[in-house]
Amino acid sequence: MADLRAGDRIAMFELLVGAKHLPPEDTFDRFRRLCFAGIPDTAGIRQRAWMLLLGHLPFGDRARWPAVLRERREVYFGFVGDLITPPTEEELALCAAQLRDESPTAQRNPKWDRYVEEMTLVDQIDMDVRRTLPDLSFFQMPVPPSALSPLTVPADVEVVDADGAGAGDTSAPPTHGFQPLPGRRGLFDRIVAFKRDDDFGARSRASGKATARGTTSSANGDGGGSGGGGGAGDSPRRGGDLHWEAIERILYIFAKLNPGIGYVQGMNEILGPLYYVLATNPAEEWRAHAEPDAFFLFTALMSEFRDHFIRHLDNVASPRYSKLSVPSTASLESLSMAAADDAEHANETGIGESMNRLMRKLARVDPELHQNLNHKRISPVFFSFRWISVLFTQEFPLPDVIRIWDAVFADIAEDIVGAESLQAEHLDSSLALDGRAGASGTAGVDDAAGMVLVAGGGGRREHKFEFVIDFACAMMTSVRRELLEGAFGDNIKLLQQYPLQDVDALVGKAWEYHVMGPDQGPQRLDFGDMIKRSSMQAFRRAAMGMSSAAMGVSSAASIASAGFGQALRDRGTQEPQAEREGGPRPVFDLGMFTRPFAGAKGGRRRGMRRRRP
Amino acid sequence: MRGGRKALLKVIILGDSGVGKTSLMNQYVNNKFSTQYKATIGADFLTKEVLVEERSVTMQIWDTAGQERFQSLGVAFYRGADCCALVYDVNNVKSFENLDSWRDEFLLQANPRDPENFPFVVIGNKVDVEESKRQVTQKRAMAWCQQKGNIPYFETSAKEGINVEQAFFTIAKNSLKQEADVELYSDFPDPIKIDGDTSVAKSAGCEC
Repeated sequence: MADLRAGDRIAMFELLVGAKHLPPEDTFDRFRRLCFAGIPDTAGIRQRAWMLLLGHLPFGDRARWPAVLRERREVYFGFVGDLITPPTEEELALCAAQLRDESPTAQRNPKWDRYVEEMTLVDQIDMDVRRTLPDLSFFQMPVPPSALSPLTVPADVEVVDADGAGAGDTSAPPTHGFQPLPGRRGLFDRIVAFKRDDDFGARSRASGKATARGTTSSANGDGGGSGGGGGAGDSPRRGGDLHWEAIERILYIFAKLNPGIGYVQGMNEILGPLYYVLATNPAEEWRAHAEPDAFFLFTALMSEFRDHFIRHLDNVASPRYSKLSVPSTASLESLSMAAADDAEHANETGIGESMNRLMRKLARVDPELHQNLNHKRISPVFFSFRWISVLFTQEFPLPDVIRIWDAVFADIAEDIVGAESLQAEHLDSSLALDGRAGASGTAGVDDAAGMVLVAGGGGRREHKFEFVIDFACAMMTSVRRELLEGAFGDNIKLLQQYPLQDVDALVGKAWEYHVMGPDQGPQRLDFGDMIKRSSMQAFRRAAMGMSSAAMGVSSAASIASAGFGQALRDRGTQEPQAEREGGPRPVFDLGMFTRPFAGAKGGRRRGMRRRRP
Repeated sequence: MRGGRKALLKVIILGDSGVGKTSLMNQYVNNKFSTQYKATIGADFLTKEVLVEERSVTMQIWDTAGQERFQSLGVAFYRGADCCALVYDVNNVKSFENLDSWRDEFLLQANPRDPENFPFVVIGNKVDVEESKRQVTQKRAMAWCQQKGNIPYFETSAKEGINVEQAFFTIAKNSLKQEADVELYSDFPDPIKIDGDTSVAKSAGCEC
């Protein structure tokens, strides 16, 4: 039975992410709900599903997919061509002089200072990306060559293939037809020239002999194996890039395009799984473009979570902020202005506020645990800063992270894409099969930069990425007994080395909290305040919600309050709540998401909370 | 009252990104070394039980993130610290030059009772790397430590486990001593309040 269901799910997903036009009842909203329950691991589904959820591909306008993909990939290759450049003669000379001289200050000149500043950024990225997902050998492996991408064709082939200069339509044979990018390794050449030596020895390996050893070889490399910067001569590598070098390029380009954010440690942890999922697509036509596609998915994610990476916004006080970060040179000025503006006002979107949201939610669903932690002076910063800022990537193995992200993306899709506009778009395109008909604001072209923007309904919800908060909350309540019994040190260790593996159960519990909706009170509670608002108040609020449900006032309220009441009742049982049969409370049954087509029509109506009028 | 109580010491490890803070902590607590530690996000927490002068002590060690962006979190971690280890990489002069601002930032945010005598320890890590790459001499480092009020100085290799135990033992010992002093003070009925802002300059941490 479970197999049958799984088979149905796969077939359904294949349709939903397929190139064929969908029937009108297959709305984006329904798709989102299905993704909440997990996207099948089967061939190529998740890649496209994530692209849809993060607004990279228009859900309702499938005819436009090839054009959108191609356009965006071209934009990215343009960035690589413009921003990734090999060191100039002058820079090489300066580097060499600096390496010879013990005191770099002897070389004082503004150009050099700028160069040093830039290389400090590159060096920081370089140091981190090498260590991305170190448990996997994947990132230490070479990117398989493909004639479809100018980034992955081996350097010698590239020259031959360069005739596709007229980067027009894909009328040409399945060769890439993109401009060649001979300088794509320029960034790495600059690091090699700049650095006294290659700390990890990874770039001093013989060209093309990339192995899975990767960073483990550094034990020798550190001790002088890198031979005093001997790696410099090996560049550019003829055999192509390693996967971690691909994500290094993405992060560098992102930092250059978004100087208001730059590079912050941990971004590589967010980019890693995105890139991994795309680069392991069995279909070469997708896999070959993992790098450009990952860049855009990363940008879309960062537009949602960027505030977590901005130090100005760390403090709980600054203004509401809903601007999107867009990889467009045209927006650079506005972006940094916006950032400066934020610093002056009270903000509710930085990491500090997100952690407060978590504690507010905890106070609501489990006042006892909240109070207990508060007594022990366990600040959310001690554990949830990492949970939230890098989206649980450090707490779970990769397959689990990917599963959690299915739900997280399904949630934020409402902000990024906007369910309503997409439904409209879907309607448009089902009425008119014209490829451009359904553009309706979810993706457009920025004239100034000729750049495809990730835009849309950002900021339409009061509480963005609520599911991240819900999931973090579920992580806490799922170990409540251990937390209640343990002392400060045990608690921190438990939360930092999270013991539970059953992510489906956690997602299920998080879903319970999710249907409650976010904290409604306009009052701003900080961690210390919350203790004063005891369980009584929470119960009172729950009771109010219940009564409105009983009177059938509004479906949103009833779902939220019913979920809340249930959560209160369930608390303490510590039972995983993912697998529950429908029956008495079908509304928050996870199973509803897994029901195939037949149940979907009804499911739409009663399923998701509709928060916005 | 004090003798029987089990001591709890809160230790903060600070320093630039990549100098080896995580490696030091893991070498000390778990006797392990890996080149695969990821960049620390926020702060990692480990504990270790040690015996100092016949007293059982639990060290709570906070290994903090080195990137400047994370410094705004400092106040959450620094408060109530009993000792602070300032770590730099002897092969990276910038990481040494930044010790000043790490120290200032710590004193500013932790706001200890007696900043002049707050127990710091300075650790120059990665001495296993070949001598020709070294950028900070022992002499220079010790001069800095002396100037800052005779901070104990250790040269370590987290990779090879050189001097790590000794450095942390000193941390434990000096923190205990500090704790004892503080308790002595608090025995007085009306303790003199020492303001934390003496000689503490705000570091240029703003990234506007």
